[in-house]
Amino acid sequence: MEREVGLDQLGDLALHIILSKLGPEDTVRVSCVSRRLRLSTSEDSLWALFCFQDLQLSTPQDHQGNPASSFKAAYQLWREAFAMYPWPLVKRVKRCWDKLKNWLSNDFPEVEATLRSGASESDIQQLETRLKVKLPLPTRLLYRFHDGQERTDEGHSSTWLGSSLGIIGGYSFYNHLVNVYLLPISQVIEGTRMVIRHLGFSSRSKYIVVAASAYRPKKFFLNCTNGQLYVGTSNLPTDGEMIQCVPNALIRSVHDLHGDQQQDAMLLWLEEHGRRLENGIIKVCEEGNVRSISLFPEVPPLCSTAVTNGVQVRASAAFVPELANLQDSAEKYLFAYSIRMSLLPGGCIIDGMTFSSCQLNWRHWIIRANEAIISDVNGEAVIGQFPLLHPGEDEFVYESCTPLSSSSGSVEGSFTFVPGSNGGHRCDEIVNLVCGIQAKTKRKVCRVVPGEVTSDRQLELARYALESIATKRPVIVRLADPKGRPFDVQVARFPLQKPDYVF
Amino acid sequence: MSMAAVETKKITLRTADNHEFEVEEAIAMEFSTIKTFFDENPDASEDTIPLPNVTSKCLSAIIEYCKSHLAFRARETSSSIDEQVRTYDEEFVKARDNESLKELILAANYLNIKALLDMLNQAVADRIKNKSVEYVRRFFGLENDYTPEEEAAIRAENEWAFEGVDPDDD
Repeated sequence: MEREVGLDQLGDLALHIILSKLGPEDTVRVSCVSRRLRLSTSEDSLWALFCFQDLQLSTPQDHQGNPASSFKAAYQLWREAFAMYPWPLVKRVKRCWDKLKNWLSNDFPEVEATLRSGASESDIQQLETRLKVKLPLPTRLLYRFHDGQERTDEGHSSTWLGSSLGIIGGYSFYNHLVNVYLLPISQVIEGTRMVIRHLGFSSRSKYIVVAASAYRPKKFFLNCTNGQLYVGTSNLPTDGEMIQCVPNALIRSVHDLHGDQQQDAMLLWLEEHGRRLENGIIKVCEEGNVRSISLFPEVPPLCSTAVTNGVQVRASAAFVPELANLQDSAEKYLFAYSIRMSLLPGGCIIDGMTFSSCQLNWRHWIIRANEAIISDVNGEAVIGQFPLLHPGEDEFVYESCTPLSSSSGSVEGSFTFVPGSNGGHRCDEIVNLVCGIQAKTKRKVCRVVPGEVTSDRQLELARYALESIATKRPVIVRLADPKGRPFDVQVARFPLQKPDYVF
Repeated sequence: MSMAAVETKKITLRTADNHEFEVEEAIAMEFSTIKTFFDENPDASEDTIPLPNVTSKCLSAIIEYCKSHLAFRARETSSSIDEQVRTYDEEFVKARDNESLKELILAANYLNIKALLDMLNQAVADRIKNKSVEYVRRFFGLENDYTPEEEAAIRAENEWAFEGVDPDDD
């Protein structure tokens, strides 16, 4: 017998530790050494470790979620299912989807339910044949895990049920409503063909439509040759104008099987989106009874917050690429912004006195392009409304937008509020009453200045309205019965910034 | 246990090749096997402990290792200490051939010295990582007891594991 220390004496524990440090590929090679070693390499606890390290699996399952007989079998199935791809890229794509799905399962499970299961290699092959493109490697893998999103109504009706479930999300301001879905392969093929027909792209173009909004025409294109992602601007129908969505310098080796660290724009874009969701930079928002992912940032530095006399105002902007017009130097870019205001639980505190409500009268708004002021306006109301705030209520939120000639700027301003007291009537009810009278008489009855109104004053107002009808003279009614002086509430400066990653 | 007034207590160990080593108690307690023994037999501290599975060559290396690591731990933790520990560990394994590595693993396993065992296992893993099946066979001193068909079957089943292997040096 040899003088050497044989393996049998090395000890199962030591061997197990060595194999776990070696990793799955080397462990398989060790199993080829001899039958004795093969026993050690078959221990399922070892493969449970590898499944966890590589794939974050805690139960044995294949890539479609079907249970496997053991961790060793599961690992084997995964490697075989993705044998045509570099394994580090497979792991990275899985982590990207896992991050998105973890967030969705906690915050927006309805969207997680729309994720279709993975496409097969032959599904992808079909896309490539029909559209005459070769998908970049990372994008292929993304589709292998999930073939886009299901939409409950695949038709073209104007009201889509469930079309607020786009995983990329969106925004709405005035009547511009956007919510972006990841398209399944069937829609990629159809959508791309439509684009080629209607927008006059060359039939040899390497652009495919990969994501789109359910409402407004907002479309994302993947260029299969260079792996970059683009979004169409307002000039898309006429000039095919697009804005790139991901920093070019980061894209590499998209078609190179043996390359190191392949990454294309689709992967980088989804990784960035997952990061923003995970860090709470963007969140689910509810408007009416509809929940959707809102692209208005919620945290500093992109979202500003200021509290004045108990009134809190949060403000942030989102870049709106589909309304950009790169050929117009004055109004090249468009930014939407969301202003959220609320009265803190302590109420409105001025000069030592506490008020249980306050109402917005007036707005002062300053817009800058780079550092130069391009707009400095005063006006009544915000989007025609005079929000009345009570402590502890949900935020009053409104959205508006501004064009900008540069890719960088800011907005700041202030609102003038009037404090009120307990009880009384909501001013908007009174406004409605007066507007009703105005509509009937088709005359301008009176200019309504908002504030707190008691029921006595309501009668008084009705009396004024009737008097005005009788005398055919406009009557100014100061509804405001301020219990305290008007005060300015700061809207802290928030940036308008065309981002590196465009969503 | 009674503490000697001035001297630190020493434990006597006898190796497989009948050498006796006197080590400070603190070092002997690093060997979990010995620590457990004393926890269960507190009166046995004067006796010589036999270590039939450990050679004197191994034991002296292990004593050196434990002495150095005890000294490192006595100092404040800092990144420069971590750096020194890493360098010491690297030197400890670098000069040793595969045989002595394996002997040390056996001894560390028997004496149940967790940190040393982990470090030695990592060193073995580093030496056989990405190497061919033949190389690993020679490393462990094993005969191939597969038929060619059996071995081919394993390779075919696990194609993914056989890409990118380092060429053998000899």
